[in-house]
Amino acid sequence: MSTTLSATLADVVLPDTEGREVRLGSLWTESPAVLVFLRHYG
Amino acid sequence: MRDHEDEIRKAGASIAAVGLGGRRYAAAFKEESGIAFPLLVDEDRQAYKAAGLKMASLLHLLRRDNAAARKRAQAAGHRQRRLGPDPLQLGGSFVFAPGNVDLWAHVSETFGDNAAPADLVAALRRPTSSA
Repeated sequence: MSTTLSATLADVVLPDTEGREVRLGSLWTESPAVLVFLRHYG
Repeated sequence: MRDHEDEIRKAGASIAAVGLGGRRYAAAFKEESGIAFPLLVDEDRQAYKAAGLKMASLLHLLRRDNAAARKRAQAAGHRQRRLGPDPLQLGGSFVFAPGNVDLWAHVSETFGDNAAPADLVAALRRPTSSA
């Protein structure tokens, strides 16, 4: 059974701009989430 | 996406962005742009790699679809600002649902190949079938 991309990304932990660590999977635990990967800022 | 945040929230979803570069750079961009959604920093590109996002090359500047994308961006009032630490890293947009369900994906093929917000919102509004 293949793993979904969201399952692959769910355990990745990244800091936000305040330094707080965010587990990506927490973004879509309760409801859908749009996740945008930027090429650059601006 | 900033301009479509309300529409995305009304469709019942949240939004977050991931960028390269340092936290201070990201914080400055967040403040300048006024985005209210979380902006996460992936300096090592671990999430970019895990998501299978592509790298461009300078040859992409010669692609017709790239020229068209630049024209669209300029027409919309966008302009190239300071490039990040890895200007060849391409982006992507995804919609994920609880239970680690992938609802929609757009992986950029070249510079300026961005997801159409309308497609993204449409994915949120589609009924999901359980497996």
